[in-house]
Amino acid sequence: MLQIRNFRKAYGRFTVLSIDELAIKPGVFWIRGVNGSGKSTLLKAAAGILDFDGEILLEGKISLKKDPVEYRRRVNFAEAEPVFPEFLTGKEMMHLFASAKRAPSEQQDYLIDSMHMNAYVNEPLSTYSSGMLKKLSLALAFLGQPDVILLDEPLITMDTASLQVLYRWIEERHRDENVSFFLSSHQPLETVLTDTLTVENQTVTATA
Amino acid sequence: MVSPLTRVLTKIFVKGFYRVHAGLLLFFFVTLFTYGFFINVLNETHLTPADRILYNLILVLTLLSSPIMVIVVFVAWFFYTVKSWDYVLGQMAIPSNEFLYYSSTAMARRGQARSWFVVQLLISVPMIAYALFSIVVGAVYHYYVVPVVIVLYIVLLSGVSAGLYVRVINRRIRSHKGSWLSGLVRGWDKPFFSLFLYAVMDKLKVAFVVTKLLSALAIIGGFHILTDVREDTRAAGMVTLGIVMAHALLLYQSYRFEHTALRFSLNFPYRKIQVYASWGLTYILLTLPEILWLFTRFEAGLALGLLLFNLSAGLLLRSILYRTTLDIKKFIYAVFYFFILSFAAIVLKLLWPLVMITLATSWIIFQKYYYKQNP
Repeated sequence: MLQIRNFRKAYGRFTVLSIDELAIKPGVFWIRGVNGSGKSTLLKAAAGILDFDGEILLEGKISLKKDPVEYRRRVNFAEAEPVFPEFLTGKEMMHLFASAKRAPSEQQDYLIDSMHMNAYVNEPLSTYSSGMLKKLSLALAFLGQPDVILLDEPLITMDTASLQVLYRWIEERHRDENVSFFLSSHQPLETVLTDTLTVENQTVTATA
Repeated sequence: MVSPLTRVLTKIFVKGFYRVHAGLLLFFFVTLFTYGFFINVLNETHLTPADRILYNLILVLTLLSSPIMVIVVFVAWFFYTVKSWDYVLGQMAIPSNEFLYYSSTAMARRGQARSWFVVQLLISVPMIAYALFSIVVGAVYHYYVVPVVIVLYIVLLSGVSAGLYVRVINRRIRSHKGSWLSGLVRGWDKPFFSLFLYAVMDKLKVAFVVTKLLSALAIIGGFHILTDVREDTRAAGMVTLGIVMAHALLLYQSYRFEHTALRFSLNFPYRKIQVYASWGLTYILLTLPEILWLFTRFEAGLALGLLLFNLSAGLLLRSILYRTTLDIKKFIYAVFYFFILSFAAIVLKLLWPLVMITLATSWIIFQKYYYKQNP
């Protein structure tokens, strides 16, 4: 489903991550690794937000670099610490992402309702707590019809009730639409996991 | 000995202030310098170097001896101080600086005020430098009253600023509900290309007003200096180049906004040409008053050429930012080289080739670096 070839990301002379060849089948993956190991770098690169040397392919044919639009239509991403324009409301962010990712309008209502964001979704983001912002960013990553959803540290700042909603979303999407998930986290995840990817020693290894 | 609080506040607010406003200050400096340069050229035949020094001194002396000039300069300094309040109070509210609310406030108010006073003095260094120059000249030419008033005025501005900062930091954090302008447009449709315009309404109002003042200065000053070629395409081209230069700071701010608050959009399935065109549209909307002026001032063909030059130059500077990212020094160098090359092309009456080369270069740079920006 996702293939990484000759991947290398360096900051100055320091190589953060180097992957010669890695083929990942569809599933729900837990990305593990200590602080600074390169988990976020891997996810940001796979989301097309961070430049890197090498190639990432979706389904063996859609190249992140050669088919940037098609790739980005199929791969969604939520940052660990989301930063959005403060003057926009949650609803306006949902509209922006929905129009970019071509999401059906009822999808927005479902995500807002089930994550219990109705009370504040029309307020500007400057009034949001970090947890509220996190919930919004996760909802945004579920908009559209992606094949892959990358969630960087989805558990941080989330309350337990919201976490259960997130787990339900992941399970529904994976079961009904065969969406693959990559979830980076220090804590164990309470959802159905296919496999674990370990980021250490500047590379990534799959452990069943 | 410098107190730890002063050191921390200086690192956060003074360095930050100059980093953000370096471009603006440099543009002011270059404007004054360029003005002085042109004055010298125009008077070259009948002024000796000694005369020039004398005229420069007179400029300062005018401030010292004319009450109106003193008021004008004081008002300008007041606005500079208000701009610094806007920056410092804005920075106080960001999460990474919230620790000041529960650490610095444990100190005695007098100690806090002393540190904030130093911060404001350091932010006012451009004012103080000019004031010192005036004081030295005043002492030589026996003007004593105004220099004393200048010193008292700077102390007063810094004292009031320190009082304001201490007051704000010692009260509870108030959530930012957005500016009244943002409130006014809440509920409006906000497509991608319009987001920076809303960001201007929210937090960049002062930068916008300063840009428009510089732009007006470029138009009025340009025609004033170029009196002998007023109807020439060269004068029109140079005035348009001035308009673009005036907007360089706002273009930098637009990139900063995209780089930080719209970082997520790199994951959007937008075609590069779509993003490029949307920033072009944003720039056209930002310079709409100037564009309308070009069409009322010049005949349609020339005005169209000037509009395209304005757009292509704006897009080129914007695209260069994808290469330089937030390094303002590199950006200022690039703006400077662009100014020199465009100036030469305009003088040689090569406006149309300049438009085409600028537009092509802007697209080449954009499509090469859009996905390769440094974080």
